[in-house]
Amino acid sequence: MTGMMGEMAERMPASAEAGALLRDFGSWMASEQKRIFLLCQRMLQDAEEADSATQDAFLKAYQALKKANGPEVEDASRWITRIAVNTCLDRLRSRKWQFWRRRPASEDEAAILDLTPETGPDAEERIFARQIGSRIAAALNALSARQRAVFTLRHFEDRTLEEIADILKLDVGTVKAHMFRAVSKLRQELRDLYSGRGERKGGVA
Amino acid sequence: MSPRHWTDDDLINAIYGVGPGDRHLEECAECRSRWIAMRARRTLVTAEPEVSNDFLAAQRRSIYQRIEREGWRGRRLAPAFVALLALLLALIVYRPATAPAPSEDLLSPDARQLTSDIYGMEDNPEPEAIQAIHALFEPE
Repeated sequence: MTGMMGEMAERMPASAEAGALLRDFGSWMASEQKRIFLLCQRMLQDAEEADSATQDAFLKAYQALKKANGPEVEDASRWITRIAVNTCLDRLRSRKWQFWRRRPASEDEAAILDLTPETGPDAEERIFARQIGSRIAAALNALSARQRAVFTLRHFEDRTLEEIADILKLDVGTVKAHMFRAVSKLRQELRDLYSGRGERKGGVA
Repeated sequence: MSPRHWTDDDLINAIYGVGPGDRHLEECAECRSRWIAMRARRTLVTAEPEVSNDFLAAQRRSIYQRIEREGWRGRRLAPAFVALLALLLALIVYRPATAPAPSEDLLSPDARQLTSDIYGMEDNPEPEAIQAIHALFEPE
């Protein structure tokens, strides 16, 4: 992406260059924004904080691109994912000290996330999906920040372990270790998800 | 091929990339079809929820405002930074000159006494008049 923006910048005077950068940035941001917001929402489990983290991530990206010797970005999607994940990790770490924090009311989150209506032939499936989805979301709180990042990138974005390692700047073995622990901690929810037992919360052999 | 079929937990681990290390899934059609069916279930909960366009537009506006504010902040802080630098430089360079003692022949005897008292206070902050009071309390 910087390649494209860089080529443009070479042909333009400074003021036009800034305008062009902002325009290019705007259209790219619009294409990635929803995914990044949902990623932050899934990692932070808080719509308001996810909104703020998404803004921070794009602001950091813009500031990096604006620099004359900005980063050479091969995969813009992966790059913004890395910025967003790191922003969320910082927030998750600082949460440890914020004992006064409370989760926003669920109706506030629902106002932002307009979930699809529960009508139609597969309404039952949707109800199940919502139940198990909530359970998985709640269980994510039991994971460490890195485990949560690793699991979220795989579960929701279907990233390969190599991609996750690249995003988090870890080696694949470490990612595997985090993933294994995350899956172990979420075992019951995942069993219920993959077997279709939405309501069941008891142990399964 | 492995002697036994994979358990559900093995298949779940495999979905997350941490399954048993052998090539069982490639060789066992039954386990592979179970694995494919399980992966399909995941799409139920990972389907992206709708996020309202109004919310996304408001978020973009906030980002643009912050980009603008950051730019202005830099420009606004530059003169303040220069002024602060100048002030620091002035504080380093400036040495207050000591006031010269007034020439004695220009002063009347009273003024000379006053000047002498004032300069004397630099060495002894107590005025001479106090010494008489102190003397009253000194042990004999």
